[in-house]
Formats: sequence, structure tokens, C-alpha cells
Amino acid sequence: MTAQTETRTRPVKVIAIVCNWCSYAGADGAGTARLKQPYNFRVLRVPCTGRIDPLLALKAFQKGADGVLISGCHPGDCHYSEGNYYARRKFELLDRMLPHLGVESQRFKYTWVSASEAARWQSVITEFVGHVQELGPREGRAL
Amino acid sequence: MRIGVFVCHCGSNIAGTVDCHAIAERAAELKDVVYTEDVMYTCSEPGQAGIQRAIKEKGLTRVVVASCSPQMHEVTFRRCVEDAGLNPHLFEMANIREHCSWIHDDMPRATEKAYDIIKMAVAKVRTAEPLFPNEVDVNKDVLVIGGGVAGIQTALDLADAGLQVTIVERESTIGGTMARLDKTFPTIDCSACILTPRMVDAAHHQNIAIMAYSEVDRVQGYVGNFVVDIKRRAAMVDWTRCIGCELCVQKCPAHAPDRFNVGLAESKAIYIPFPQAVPKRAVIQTEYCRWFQQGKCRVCSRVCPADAIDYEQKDTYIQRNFGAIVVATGMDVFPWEEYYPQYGGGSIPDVISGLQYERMLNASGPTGGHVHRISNHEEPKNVVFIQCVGSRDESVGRPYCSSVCCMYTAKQAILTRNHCGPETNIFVFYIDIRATGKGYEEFIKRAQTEFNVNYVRGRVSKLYEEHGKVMVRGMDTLLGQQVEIPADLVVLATGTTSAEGAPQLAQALNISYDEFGFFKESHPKLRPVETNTAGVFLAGACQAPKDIPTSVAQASGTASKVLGLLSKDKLKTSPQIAVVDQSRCVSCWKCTDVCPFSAPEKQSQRDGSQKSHIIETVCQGCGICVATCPVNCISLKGFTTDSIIDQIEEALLA
Amino acid sequence: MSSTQDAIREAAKNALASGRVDYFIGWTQGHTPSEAIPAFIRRPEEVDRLIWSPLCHHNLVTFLKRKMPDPPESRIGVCVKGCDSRTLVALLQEGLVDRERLYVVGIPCAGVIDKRLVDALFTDEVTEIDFEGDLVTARTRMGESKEFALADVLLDQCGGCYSPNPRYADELVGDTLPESQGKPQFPGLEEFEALDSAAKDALLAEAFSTCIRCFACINVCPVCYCWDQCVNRSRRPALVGQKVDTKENTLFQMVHMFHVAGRCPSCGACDRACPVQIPLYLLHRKMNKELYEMLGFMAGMDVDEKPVFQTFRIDDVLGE
Repeated sequence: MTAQTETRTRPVKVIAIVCNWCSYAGADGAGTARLKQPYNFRVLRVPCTGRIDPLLALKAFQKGADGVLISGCHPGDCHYSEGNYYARRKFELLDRMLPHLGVESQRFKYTWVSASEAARWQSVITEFVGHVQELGPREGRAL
Repeated sequence: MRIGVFVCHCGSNIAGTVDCHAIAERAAELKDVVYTEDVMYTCSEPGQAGIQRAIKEKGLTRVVVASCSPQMHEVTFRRCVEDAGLNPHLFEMANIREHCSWIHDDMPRATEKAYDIIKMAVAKVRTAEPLFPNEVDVNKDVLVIGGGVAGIQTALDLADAGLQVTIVERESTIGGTMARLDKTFPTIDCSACILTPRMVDAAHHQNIAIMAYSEVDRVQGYVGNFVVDIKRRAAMVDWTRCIGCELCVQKCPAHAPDRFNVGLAESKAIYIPFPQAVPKRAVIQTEYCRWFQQGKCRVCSRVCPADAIDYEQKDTYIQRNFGAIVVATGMDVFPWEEYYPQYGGGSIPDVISGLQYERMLNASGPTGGHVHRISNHEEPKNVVFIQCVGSRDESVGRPYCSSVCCMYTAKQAILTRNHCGPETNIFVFYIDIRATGKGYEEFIKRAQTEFNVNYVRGRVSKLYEEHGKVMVRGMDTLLGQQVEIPADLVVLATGTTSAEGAPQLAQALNISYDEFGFFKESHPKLRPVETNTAGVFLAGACQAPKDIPTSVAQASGTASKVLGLLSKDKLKTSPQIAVVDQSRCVSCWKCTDVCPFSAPEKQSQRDGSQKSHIIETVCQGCGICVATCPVNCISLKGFTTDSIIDQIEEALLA
Repeated sequence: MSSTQDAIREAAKNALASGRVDYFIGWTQGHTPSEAIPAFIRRPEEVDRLIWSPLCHHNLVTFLKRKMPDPPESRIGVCVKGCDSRTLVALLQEGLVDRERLYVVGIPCAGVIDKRLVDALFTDEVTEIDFEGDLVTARTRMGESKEFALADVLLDQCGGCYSPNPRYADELVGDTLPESQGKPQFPGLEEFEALDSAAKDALLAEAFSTCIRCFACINVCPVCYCWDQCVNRSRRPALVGQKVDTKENTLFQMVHMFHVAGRCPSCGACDRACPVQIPLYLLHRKMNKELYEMLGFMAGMDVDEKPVFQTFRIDDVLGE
């Protein structure tokens, strides 16, 4: 195996930034239910998706993330009542801009997983990591 | 900085998939980590004692426990390190159970992942700062919004415990839906006989103030210190003078629909809903009043012995402070006319709602308790009840069960038998019978056997008038055949819906509500009367359809939660809040735009400029301002931008 | 054109003479008649220095952004073109400039020229540009002269300009231009949009690799006002590394772009200010196109509107 194909096939690294109240608890629920998930994602807990500056997602790509997932409470269910509404606008713009910043659209996703949606967490993270793995590791020069 | 890392086996829960001993040893290589250990059960008494011993003996200044979810044991371990003399916020959890061992089975890869998770936690604890909670004084007065049976119960419980309670009621009397019911299931005891003494108790209680004909207009503040603006609607009657003698009502020449009797009778423009009203005070319904509509009359003013009529009265606003708020705004009856054209949509006079029938059955109701057809006042020979009208019906957007209709239909069927005698045929069309309360199933059985009520399983597809009858066409799904019954009176078991204006109230209170307008509890099982807004509680049918026993039980539960909260003189607030570095603030005020709680304020500086300042006790720690502040001069304690970047870097480091 | 110029001078004279403003910001001739530069006019007798021509590309709102009015209490007259006015509106939306202290002279603008396009027509330095109707005459230091159509050297964004008339002004000079019909245009993006992610990455890496972090784009931007506190300079938090390398440069530019999102109307001031010719217009304009498609939003159109990321609608139709 050449060094180049090795880089292409190494497991991708995915950062999942999730809100404490819904998606983190949803991921906990998936664990409690022993729902199998991919190995190569790491979860970062914040109080609310409204806390997440889109620049942090860009920072993660810059630092070598192959994919970034943002997940919070469903609109209307935000623990702080409004955080995910602000987040929705910001991440929609980021989502639309990333392909133009040299990051394939499937490397970024923002979504909503409630505390009771353990199975949804499993499918969201499994699909997302799967898509990122299909694209392989990123070798961006700009980001 | 001296960091200790404790890796928990959690029996085999973690150790079965993660090599805990190996990662504990590896973690010792991380920067600033001076002590590591793998432990069978960190949360156990000896496990916690081990952490405390290590803090003292090894001089640890920060601690990471790699075990389960912080939602499980963060509080436990924070307390543990605090007892050993560390600030509880110099502690971080690495979730290697729910987020690792339980979702994987390949040990080498799970171990590698667990190690990454520990690295991230170490990176985070490295940037941690000691945090200290604030203490705020607590106002011990309680606001109860809604004066139905749930609100009354909560208010009485709290008042008996010595708290000052204000009930704000939108109508001119307390009592709510229960005041309009004739009898209650499954005991067939008189609703008014149970409720009205409680209403009077509330009115006479020295610790309860009732503000009827009033609405909550605006809510500011936070747990322990709410500031509430209450609008007192203009009754056009000076209630400090009115003695409730009803002379004005008797003499008033202008007629108006009787809302209390759901349109079954007429009332007057000047109005007292029912004789036992509390407070018993008159209200002029200006849209029907001759003086307001035509500029002449003033009969009420002339006959009033107390000189209480005040045509110039305006809405007034008062501001009150409360420590806790109980929402008990109840429910409304599903407006079936708009949704069921197949049942005539309200155009067939002899098709009435369950609540209308309740008034008809009532001895002090518009018919004096006499059951008759609306169309010709004859006693009905065939009475048909149709269940699940506006419940369990996705086609009208109401998939939920209203929870009371099966029972009140059985009750009304039994009362029909009592009122009309053995000759009358009584049918109930149902989907399923839901009778889960104490004595409920037996009650249904009695209706079927003792009171000879014919239960027909199936939906009614159509109601139409023919030869002076209401033809009921439906399906008997047990017999598998169409049935058609010529009914004299059809009573719809109309479902419950959220109270009018519930979403607006929820928004004012900053609490969540579901798609149907019912308020959301904090946790369906473990925090059923709390909301996600600290200090705001729920009681009764505003949370979900409920019957009287459940509402009252919940109301007392709510009261005990409020008492628990207000038993303290001071409240500790979470220290995980946002703080502004004013030396970097550029006064762009985006933080004030986005904060859902109005926590940022403009603070004047010595140089005359203004900088943002976040009111510690108002901030809820969401961090929306942090992500909005362009210079990043607001940081969220416990979740700083640098700590997030450090964790990202650790996670991505090979 | 000259009548508009006269009207600007008249407005400036009146505002200064009446004491309505302490000084008046407009444009004047630069070193040569081939360029216009901003001018601060303090006395009524100075107003004849003011000019108006398609050379007046500078967005003077830059001088109004926070902490810039000097002294802070001063009352200022300022000229705005259509696109400039939208940056002023963005500042007004945030309450960051006091409109009571402003006297805004709005100028309907049919387009300003892209000096870079003119320069490219010559091998020598262009020192004089004259306008006669739709015809432009340019002469070089060595005396070479060419005539060409104004439309050929306009800034590309001026072609399909959506807001030729100021969205906010105390006084309007010159004739109002026909308002744009239909959807706003975002020209010059097709080629970029057609590239795949890898090619875009390569293009941006190439462009940003030359960034010297001079802050010209940020300092000239009329809606970017954090000055010393810019998070691009911050060490705590350390969001952007201070090393001048491609990836940090990209993040540096992203800070600017995301911070002006919802307030940037693509006036192009950053693009024209860049000394190393990074095509900054590209991403900013692309962002504005996406924002328009996303929420039907355009920055700086209405003083009473909130910038798009400082508010939300519960029924925003976004995401899944």
C-alpha cells in the first residue's frame, strides 16, 4: 500500500458539536440502548446550538476535521426557547457556503435530535460518518 | 496545575469493551496530569473516597473522571471534589460509557476512542476556572394563573402553608370548567357541591387574593424574582361597591348569549355567570349593552343600590412581584362545529356538545335539569352519544385522547336514564373505552348493565335531519354492519383543546408548548409539574387533558414543588453563565438583540461610554450572545471558546 | 453629471453655512484627474473641491462607523450612492450611528468605474479620465489616449444594480433612476460556482495565500467596526492564528465574511481596497446570493428591519 492510498483510506475524523439538553441526551439514550455507532466521531457538549459560532465549525475543518455535525433540540423545543432558531439561520448559511469554501457539502450537517430520539441519533451519526468516509479524509489547502 | 484522571470500569459496562487500565496508564503522559488510576466503580462510596484521598495526598488541583454521562453523575462528582476542598467546576467528566463502551464492541478501537475522549476532557479541565454560584433573595409570593379547580387547589395548599397567593382569573368568576359540570364521575356527586365550598374557601382565605376579570400581560424577571404586569379588564362596574345583588341583571333590557350555559340560554348585557360566582360581581358586556351601543338606557345605573355602575371605567394595569408562578389555565372544549361538517357543523339543533348537555342536565341550568330536544322541547325517546369528537381524530388535527370523554359520556348516559326513565333508548358510539382511573371501569360496566346503555363500537359517519329526527348513520364494527338510528337528541363527546391564548401566555412566560397548545412539562416522568423555566410550574389540564381527580392531585403536587422552592430564603444560581470582558466590548449591542432573557444590560462606564454587562441572576447560560458577539468578548463560563477549540484540537490530534 | 456635482456642492455649502454640520464628506480629485478620493470639507468656501463622476467609488460610510466620527459629538454631512446607503442603513438598523448627527446627501448612481479595467487597457499609467455622456476618454502620462464606452469599464456589480437610488437620505440630489425590477442580480459568480469543491479550494488557497493581513478589507468595510478588538487580533480567545499562512488567512477572511453576513450589501469596498488583489467580492457576493435565496433577504434595505442574524422567524423554512 502506498503512502497516498493509506491517507485516502484512513478512518475519517468527525467532530459532533451537540447541545446538552436534547442531542447529547439523545446520544446518551442511544448508548443506554446499546445502539451501535461508528468509532470515528467525537462528541463535544455545549449548552445550546445557539452557543456555536459557525467559525468554530470552520476552525474544526481548519484543524483537520473531515466532517462536522451540529445537532440540537428541534425548533420549538430549545431549552432556552430561541437558541436553535438563531443557530438554524447561521448554520443554514454555513451549510450553503461550505461547498464554495472547498468543503464538500456532505462533510457538514446541522440537524435536530431530541432527548428521546436515541434511534434517530444512531441513524444520523451513522449516515453522516458514512458519507464523510465515502469522501475520505480531507486534504484542503484553504481550510 | 496538577490533574488527576480516574478511569471507571463500571463493572464490565466500560471495562468489557475498553481497556481501562491501559488508558489510565497512558493518560499519565498527558500534559499536567500527575496522577491516574482505574477504579472498579468510581461513583461508589469507596470510589469517591479514593478520589478525595488522591486530591489530598497527591495535591490534585483538577480532576477528570472517565465514566458515564455527565447527565448521570456530574452532580455526584462535583460534590465529591468539593467535599475534598476543590472548586466543583475544576472537574470534568469524560463520557466513555454511553458515548463509547456501550456503542462499540471492538476493544482496541473502543479503547482508542475512550482515550481521545479523556484527552478532550483533560484539555477542557485545563482551561477550567473556579466558579461560584450567586445567591439571590427570594420573593415568597406566588402567582397562580387560572382559577379552575387546579388553580384553586394549588392556591389553597400554598396559602394553608403560609404563602401569599394571588389568583389571576380571566373570567369574572373563579371555578373554571368544573363550575359548569352537573355531576362528576364515577361517583355521580354534584360538581357544584364539591367545588363551590372550595371557591368560597379561596375567597375567604386571608392568604389568597383573587383578581378576577384579569389577565397576565407581561412577565419579566426570573425564579424567585418575577415581575408580572397584570391587566385588570374594565368591568364597567366598580367591584369595590358591587354587592352581587343581581338587581341590575334582572332589570337589564338587553339580551346577550349566555356563555356560561354555552348558548343554551340567553343572559343579559350585564352579567353574573352563575349564582355561586366568586367573586359575585357584575360585568357589563359592552358589545351587547344599549348604553355602549346606542347611547341610551342606563337602567343598571339607576337600579343599582350600591352606585357601582361606572361606564367610564378603563382597563388598569398593576405590577406585582412573585417568587414562583403556577400556570393552571385549564382547557377549552373542542370547537367541533368548524371541523365536523358531516355532523351538521352546528346547523342541526338537536346535535349538541357534551358541555351543553352538562348544562341541560343541571338543575340550576337553563332547562332546570329537564332533558328535552332543542328543536321542539319534547322529551327524547332515542338519545345517541358519539365519542371521540375532536379526539383521536387525525383528520381534524387532534390525534390525542382527551381522556375525559369516555367517562363523562357514561356519566351523562346514566343521568339520561335517571332523567328520562326506562322507556328511552340510549346509544353510545365509541372507538375504545378508556376507563383507567379508580372505579372507572366498574362505572362503565354499571352504565352498560344497570342503566341499560347500548354501547355500539364504531364511528358515526353522518348525521342528517329526516322527518323531525336526527338520523345517525354509522358502523357497528363488532357486528360488521351499517346501523342507522333515528335519534331525538345527539350528544357529541366533544374533546378538550388547549385554552384560548395558551401559546401567547407560554411565550410571555418563556415556557414551551406542544403543537396543540398544551404546556410542556420539564420531564414527562421525573419533572411532571415543572417547566424548563425555573420557577414556573404547571397544574391541571393546561399541560394535557385531565379529569378532576388527576388535576387536583397534580395541583397538590405542584404546590409541594413550589413550597420546596420557596422554603429557602436565598436561591443559588448556576455559575455557568456568560460574562463580558468590558475592556473588549465594542458596544454593538447584538447581545441585547439576541438574548431570550434580557440578561445583557447597558452599563455606564467612568468615561461616559456604555458597555454590555450581563446580569448574573438573569442569565440562563445558553451562550447565544457568545456566538453572536463579534469580538468574542463574552465568554460562557464552563464553555469558553478556547476550551472548545482545545477540545477540537485534542480530538483531531493523531 | 455636472448638475449633480453642483447640487452636491450646493447641499454641502448650505449644510456647512447653516451650521447643520461641522464637516461634510464627499469626493474630490486625487493626485491626477484619473482618480477620486474622499474629501472632508469644513468651510463653505471649500465646497468647490467636491466632485461627482463615475470615479467616485469610495464608500464614505466607512468614515461613519463606530468611534470614527472625530470628535465623537460632531455633526457630519455625507454623500452616499445607492449601494453606500445600504451600508448606512445597516449601521442604522443596529443603532450604531446617530441619524440626528448626520446629514445624508443621497445620489442616484448609474454606476462607478472599475479603475483596474481602465488600467488594463494601457501599458502606461493612466493619469486622466474624462466622461462625456456614455463615452469615456482616458489618457496616460505618456500621452496615449483611448475612448471607450462607460458600460465597458463599470464595476461588474454596477451592471445589474438593484439599488441605484439611495435607500436612506435626508436630501436627494440628481435625478432618480428607474428602480430595478425583478430579482436582484449577483453577477460574476457563474464561473466560480461551476467549479467543484477541490477546484474552489485550490482557487481560494491561491487567493488567500497572498493575504498579508493588512486589515485594509476590514478597515475599509463600512459595517465592520470592532477595530482593536477584532477577533482576528484576539489572543484570548485564540480563534485565528497570527501566523500568515494560507489556512489562517482563510479563517481571517472568514471572520470578516461571517461577521458582516446580513449587513454586507456587496458594496465591494473590501475588494477594491485589497493591495494584493484577493477577489474578495467573490465570496461576499456569493454569501449574499445565498442569503437572498435562503430568506429572501438583502442587507441594508430598510432602516426598520433587523439584521438577519440578530433575529429569526419561528416559521423560517430552512434545513430538513
